Amino acid sequence: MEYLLAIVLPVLLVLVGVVLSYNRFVAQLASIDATWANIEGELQRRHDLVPNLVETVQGYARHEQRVLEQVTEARAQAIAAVPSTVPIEQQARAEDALTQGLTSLLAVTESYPELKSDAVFRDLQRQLVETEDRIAAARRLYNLEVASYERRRRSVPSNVVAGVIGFEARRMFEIRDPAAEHSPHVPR
Amino acid sequence: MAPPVSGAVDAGSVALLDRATHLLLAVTGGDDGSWLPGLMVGLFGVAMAIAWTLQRHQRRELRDALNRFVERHDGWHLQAWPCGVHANQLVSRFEATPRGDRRYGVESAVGGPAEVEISGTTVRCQVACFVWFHERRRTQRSRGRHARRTYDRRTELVAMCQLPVHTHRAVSILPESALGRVGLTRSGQQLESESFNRRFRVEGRDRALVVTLLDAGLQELLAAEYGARGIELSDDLLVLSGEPTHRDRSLAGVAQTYPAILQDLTRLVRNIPPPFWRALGFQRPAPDPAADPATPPPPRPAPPPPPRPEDR
Repeated sequence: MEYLLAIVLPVLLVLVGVVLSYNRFVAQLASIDATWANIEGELQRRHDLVPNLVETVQGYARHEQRVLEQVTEARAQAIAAVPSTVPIEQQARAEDALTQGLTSLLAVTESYPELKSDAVFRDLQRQLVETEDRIAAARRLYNLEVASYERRRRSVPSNVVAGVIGFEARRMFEIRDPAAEHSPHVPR
Repeated sequence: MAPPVSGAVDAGSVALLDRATHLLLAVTGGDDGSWLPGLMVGLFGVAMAIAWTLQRHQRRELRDALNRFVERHDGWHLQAWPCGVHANQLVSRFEATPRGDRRYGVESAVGGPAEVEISGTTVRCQVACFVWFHERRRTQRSRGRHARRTYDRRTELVAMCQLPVHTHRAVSILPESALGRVGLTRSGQQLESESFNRRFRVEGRDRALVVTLLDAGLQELLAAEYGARGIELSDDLLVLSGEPTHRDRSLAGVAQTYPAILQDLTRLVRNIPPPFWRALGFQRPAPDPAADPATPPPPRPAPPPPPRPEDR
C-alpha cells in the first residue's frame, strides 16, 4: 500500500502541475489574442482616418500630389497586410511605411497655414494622434503578454509542457512610434 | 518682521518652570519625615512641565517653519483641507491615507497654487503638502489578565496635486514588498523594466491607461529616484507619499521635507508622458491673445445703452 502511494502521489502531483501549466498557457494565449485584436482594431481605425486626411489636405495643397499618392499607396499596402496569414513582421513594415507617409504628409501641411487652421484638419490630426496613442498602448500590452508567455515557454519546468503539447513561439509586434512623430509640436 | 530665533525658550515657559521649582521646594521642605511622596509628586510635576514646555516649543518652531515655507510661495497658506479636500474624503481613498483603528486626519498642511508642466504646457494647479496621521490598535496580553489596548500613532508624508483632468480610474504605484522584490510574491501589473518591477507594485483597473502612464522614461525615473515612494491617482488627485531624500535644514520639523517633496511632485508631473494626458482628454489652454503683440486685441464690449426715459 505504502509502495503504491509512493508511486501514485508523485505522479498525481506531476499531473496536477501539468494541468495547471497547460491552463496557464491557454490563458496567456487567449490574452495575447485579445490584445492583438485591440491592436488590429486601432490599426483599422487609423486606416479609416487616412482617406479623410488625404482629402482634406488635397483641398489646400493640390501641388503635393506625390506625397498624397505615397500615403494612399502605403495605406493600401497596410490594409493588404492585415489578414492573419501575413507574417507579423511584414505587417509591422507596412505600418511603418504608412507612418512614414503620414509624417511626410503632416510635414507638408506646415507650409499651408490655412490648412493648419482648418477645423476639420485639426480634428482629424487630433483623432490620428489619439488613435496612434492607443496603438502604442495596445502594442506594449501585446508585447508584454508575449514576453511573459515566451519567458514561461522557455523556463523550466513549463518548457517541458510547452514542448510536449506544442505551444508555438509568438513574435512581438515592433513598429515605430507614430504618436511621437505626429503629435502637434509644443511651442516653448 | 524678523523671524523668531530658533531654539529660544519663551518667557512664559521659563516662568512656569520657575513656579514648578518653587512648588517642589515648598513640598519637600517639611521635617516630619513625610517628604518622600511629596518629592516624587514634585519630580513628576517638574518632568511633566519640562515635557510640556518642550512640546510647546516644538509646536511653535514647526508653526514658524510652516509660515516661513508658505511665505516662499505666492498664494500659499496653512490649510485645514489640503487642495480643498476634507480628511473624510481622503481617508482610505489612497494607500497613503489609511483609516487606522481610531483617529485619523491631516496636520501641518500647507498649500496653494503651483505651476506644473503637463504635456509641455505650464498649468496652474492646486498643490498641498501635509502629514496624514492615523492610530493603529495594539493589544498586549499578559498571563491571566485583561488584554491591554494601546494605540500607536503613525504618520505619512504626503504631497497632493489637483490635476486639470479626471483619471476616472484609480492607478497606484507603490513600493513592492520584500518578498516581491526577490520575485516570490510579485503581484500587480508587470512592465518591461525588470528593475522597475522589482521596486514597484502597479495596480490599475485600466491596463492600457497604466501602460500609457508608465512609458520607458517614467519607469526609469521612478526606479532610479522614487524607489521608496508611493504614487497614486484617483479622480483628479495625484498623491505622492514617502520621505524625500533631501531636507531643507533652514526649516524645522516636518516642514524640512516640504520643499523636496514639492519639487519631487512637480518633477513627477512634468515627466508623465503626453499620451497619458491625451488619453484623459487634456486640452491645452487657448493661447492668451494679450501675450502676442501680433494678434489684434479682441473687440471691446459695446457700451451699455443709455437709460430709457421711463427708467429715470
